[in-house]
Amino acid sequence: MGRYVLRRLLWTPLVLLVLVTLTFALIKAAPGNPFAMDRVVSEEIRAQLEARYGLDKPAIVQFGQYLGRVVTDFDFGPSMKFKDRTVNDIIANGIGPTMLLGACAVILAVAIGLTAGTIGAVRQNSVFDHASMSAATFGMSVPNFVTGPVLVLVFALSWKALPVSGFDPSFSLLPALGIAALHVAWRVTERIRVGPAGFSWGREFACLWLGLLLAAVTSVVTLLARSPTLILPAVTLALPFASRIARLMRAGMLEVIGQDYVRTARAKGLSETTVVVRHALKGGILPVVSYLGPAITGVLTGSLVVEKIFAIPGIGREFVEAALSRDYMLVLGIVVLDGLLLVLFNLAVDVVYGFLDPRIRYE
Amino acid sequence: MSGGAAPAVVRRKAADTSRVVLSVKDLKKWFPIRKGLFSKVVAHVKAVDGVTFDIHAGETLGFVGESGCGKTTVGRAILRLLDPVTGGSASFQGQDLLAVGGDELRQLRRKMQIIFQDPYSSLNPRMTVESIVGEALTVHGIVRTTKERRERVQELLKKVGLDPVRHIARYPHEFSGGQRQRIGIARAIALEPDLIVCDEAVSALDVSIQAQIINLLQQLQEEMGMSYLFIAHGLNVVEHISHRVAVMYLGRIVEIAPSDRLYDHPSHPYTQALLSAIPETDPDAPMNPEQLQGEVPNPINPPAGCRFHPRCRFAEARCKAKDQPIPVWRIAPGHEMACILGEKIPGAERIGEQPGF
Amino acid sequence: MSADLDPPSDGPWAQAWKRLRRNAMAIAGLVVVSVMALAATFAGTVAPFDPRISESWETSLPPGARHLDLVNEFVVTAGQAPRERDVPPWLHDGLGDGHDHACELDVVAEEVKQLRVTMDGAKVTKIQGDGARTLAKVELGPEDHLRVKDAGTRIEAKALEPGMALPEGVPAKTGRWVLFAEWVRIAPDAKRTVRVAYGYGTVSAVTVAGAAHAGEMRIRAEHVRDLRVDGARKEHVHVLGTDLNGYDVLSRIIFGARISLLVGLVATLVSLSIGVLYGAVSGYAGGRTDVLMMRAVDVLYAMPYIFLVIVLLTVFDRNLIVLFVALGLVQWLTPARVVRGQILSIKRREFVDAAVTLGTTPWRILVRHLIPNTMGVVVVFTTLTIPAVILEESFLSFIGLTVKFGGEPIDSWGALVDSGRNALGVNGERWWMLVFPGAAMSLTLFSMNFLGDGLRDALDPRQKGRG
Repeated sequence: MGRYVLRRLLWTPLVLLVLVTLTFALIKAAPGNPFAMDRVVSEEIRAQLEARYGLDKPAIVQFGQYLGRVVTDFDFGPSMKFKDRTVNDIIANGIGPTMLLGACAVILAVAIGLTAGTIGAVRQNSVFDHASMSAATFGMSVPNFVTGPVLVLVFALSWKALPVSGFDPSFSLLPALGIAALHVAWRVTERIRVGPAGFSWGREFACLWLGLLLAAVTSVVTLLARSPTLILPAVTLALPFASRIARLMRAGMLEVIGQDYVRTARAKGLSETTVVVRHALKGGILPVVSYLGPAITGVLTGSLVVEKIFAIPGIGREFVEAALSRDYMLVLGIVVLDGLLLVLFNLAVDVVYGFLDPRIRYE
Repeated sequence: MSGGAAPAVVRRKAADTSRVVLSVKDLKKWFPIRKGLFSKVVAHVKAVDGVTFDIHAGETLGFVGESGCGKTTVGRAILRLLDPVTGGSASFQGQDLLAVGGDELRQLRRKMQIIFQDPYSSLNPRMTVESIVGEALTVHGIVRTTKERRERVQELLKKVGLDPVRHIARYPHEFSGGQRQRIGIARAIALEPDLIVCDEAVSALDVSIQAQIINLLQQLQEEMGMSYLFIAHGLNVVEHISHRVAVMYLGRIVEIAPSDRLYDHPSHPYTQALLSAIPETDPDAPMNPEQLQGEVPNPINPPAGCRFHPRCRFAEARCKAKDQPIPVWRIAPGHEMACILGEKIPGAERIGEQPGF
Repeated sequence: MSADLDPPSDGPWAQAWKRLRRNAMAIAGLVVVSVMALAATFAGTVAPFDPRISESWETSLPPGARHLDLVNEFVVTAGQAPRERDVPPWLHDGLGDGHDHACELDVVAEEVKQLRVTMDGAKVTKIQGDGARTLAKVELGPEDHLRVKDAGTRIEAKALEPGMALPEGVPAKTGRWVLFAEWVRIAPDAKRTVRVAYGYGTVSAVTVAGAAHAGEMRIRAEHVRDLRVDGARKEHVHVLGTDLNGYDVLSRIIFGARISLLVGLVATLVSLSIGVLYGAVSGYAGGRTDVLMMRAVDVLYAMPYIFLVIVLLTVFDRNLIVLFVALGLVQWLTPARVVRGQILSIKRREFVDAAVTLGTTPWRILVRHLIPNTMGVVVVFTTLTIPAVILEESFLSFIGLTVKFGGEPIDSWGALVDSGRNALGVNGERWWMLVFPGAAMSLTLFSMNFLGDGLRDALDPRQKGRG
């Protein structure tokens, strides 16, 4: 396990290096000069500009310098369009909204997907099952750049229940703290009731997961309840992933429920809830966890669309605008940053998966 | 064929012993076992560990042994399907078989073909009979036009007993096992080879079909004069078709003899055990006492001394001794066997030895 | 020998088709996709309007709105349905007499005695005839008090003179005009013409009825939504409305389908070819080559590829080739992996050894023996990759990276959705510009995914129910 994580960690810089090189090479392969595109500038000014951005040096030197700055100072250089802002400034301003929205969407998707999938699997072929699975199949096929505007049309423009766009988050930690307190109270009472004999780290760990998930969902609900501008973007972003997770969860649980050990658990006379929570849930959640990696990639991609639709000042919108206005330094910076985020998130997901599935031998 | 429903057994035609088609000396093929992060080789499976034999023109050499003894590996190594071999040499019609490459090898391949055990996986499910049988003709530029190819393929189908008109455009899944094997044979003889390796060519078939296929192979040998290396896991199958039979055990030939001689005077305990394993058709025949016991040993870690000793009913203490050469004895002309206790056989003459373990 | 031939069973494809046919959703998907593909292929014929020609005064018409054509010229032969012919704008000359009129309706008929022209919503300014006895009647709607005053007024005009002005007593107001012309005494081969000049852009419907006309009748009307001739109705409807610029939404969707499906198909074929070849070579070569090639795939897999595609489209000219390359770059990775896995198992099968023994070259083995046996997977991947590519292309269009095609931007579905989104209006009153392109796109993706899943189940029943 440790060796696997180590290998993946060594793998990460290689992936990032290839990414930076590829992006840099692409940009250098661009026909024409970035300053010759839309403004007519004199030779003198252009030379000045090129010197400022280091474009007068050979490409390989530029690449080396860029790489050096990124690695040592995490400095992505100046923006080409905004004279007074660096790429770091823009990213620093934009990363907050993007991450907030992304986290909201992922937690929402997991919460909705797990619930719907579990109920669907436990009450297989019920009305709920059919309805939620049809909805999920549909949700997976409708692209978020259709869902988003349609939600705006229905909830913001026609019904006027929610704001059309904007970004105005407001948060309170209290409900999450309440959940934490409840969690502690629950654990303590169990200790008192059962006594120290029944203590096991594994069980505490499992309960902690549950508590964390509940706290996260509560936080998201708090956030959305207090900041209506976030509801539509979060839902838009979460919908396709919630759909996929619901389907995965249902399929995974059905597979586990059909297996011998769950049938044995039932035969032992354990209650349905215990069977579901203790056994089926644990096996059924595995496909969902392995899907989280692609889901995070999808959330990052989706943020490009959602931030555009709802005018959220995140790095997704900055990236699209940078791409359209050919602000190469900014484009490069955001690509590298997103690449880093993706690789790290995927690593985290894989490690979590390894904890959950003891069958995995990372060899 | 023991109890075979073989209609009119074709008599074996005598082989031309003056001409050696294939000569294999001390052939070795070891498969590495890798482990760990850097795929370090930790051990070898010595599938073939020093095999020597000759095949003459027009001769059928039977190769017999339990599964895992390396007989199939020998066949495939000769056909250069398992490059590179670990050691030894092989010459085909005087040409160094293991050294040629490129175009030379492609030319050599025309003369050596193979018929496989599994008639299902040996035919490409996405090709018609015409393209399966005719592929070699196209590849080697023997035919130029599709019309020419069709005619040749039809001739070949007729030769192997298939309907040249009705069957030519069909796909393999439309045929029965025996018919598929006929297609495989047609493919093998398309290039008029001098040697065909029949790799358990009838093992997967019903007994009645086995007889038909063996007859077909004998018929074709008479017409075309090629040699067969006929690999099988039981002695009963090779009895009728083989001029000589070699018995393999764990990567080595333990006994080789003319067919009649081997069946009448099996001298290696393993051969005797194999022979007794043939189901007897005569109800009055005495029960065989020499039933083979135990499993084939793990080839990664074979027993020391004589490899057969754990299952041998004659085994003595000295058979277990490590690193002793295994003597090879000549019992009669063309009848050789390898056994530590060989001197007990009357008339055995020590002619060499195999390295020990 | 042929006696023991098994009854020819179905081949793998036929069996797959049998299984697929039992899957109702997949078949529904197949039907939808086929219809879409046909509509896209024959977009020029199927689409009711040319999506590149705007009728700038017909903006934002709701779904089902009647069509207002620039100029309609009908040639009606007796006993036949009317045939429409476009008349270029420069042909209509106006009356050129300085009156306050902009448009005109000309009816030229042969062998007709009576002609009735009903115009709804017209502000008639002038009537001309060729000597028939003309009755002009104004019927006015109840909501207009001016018209109510004149309700039932029946003006009997004198024989019309060329260039004659509006009959006296008829107000130049909007209403329903019924122009009744009757020719009493004319030469049998003479043509009858009636010309009505009316206010610009105000006529909603015209009905021309020639009492038992025997010959040909030509009617040319400007800016008329609905033209009925002798009861044979000729009308154009904007089934899905028009957009802010006066383009027909349905036509734009159909032409958008063309670009979306084309991009989906070509990019899929390109990327699958690359992927299959790469995976096949990697799997067949094995050993170090295989490890190296698959590591490269792993690295590319970890890339935030959509960002790279955006960079590519930013850096280079946004034409179709660059788009194909960009999308193809992404989609070849998964098929490469899967095909490699397939090849690894196929290459162990004995027919490959047989081919080697025959002296077949490695390349030929790859192309003739290995790759054809991966076709089941490839078909499944094709049907699942096409919607993925369509989605990606639309995504790119949506965020503004529209592709130029021969200089002019073509609107794929993504761009339509984006423009629809921008056109919604403060209360969402122009919803159709967003909803219909979005629905078309979702339906297509939905159908393709169902078809792909169905094909996967049909071609590889063991895989059923995954994901």
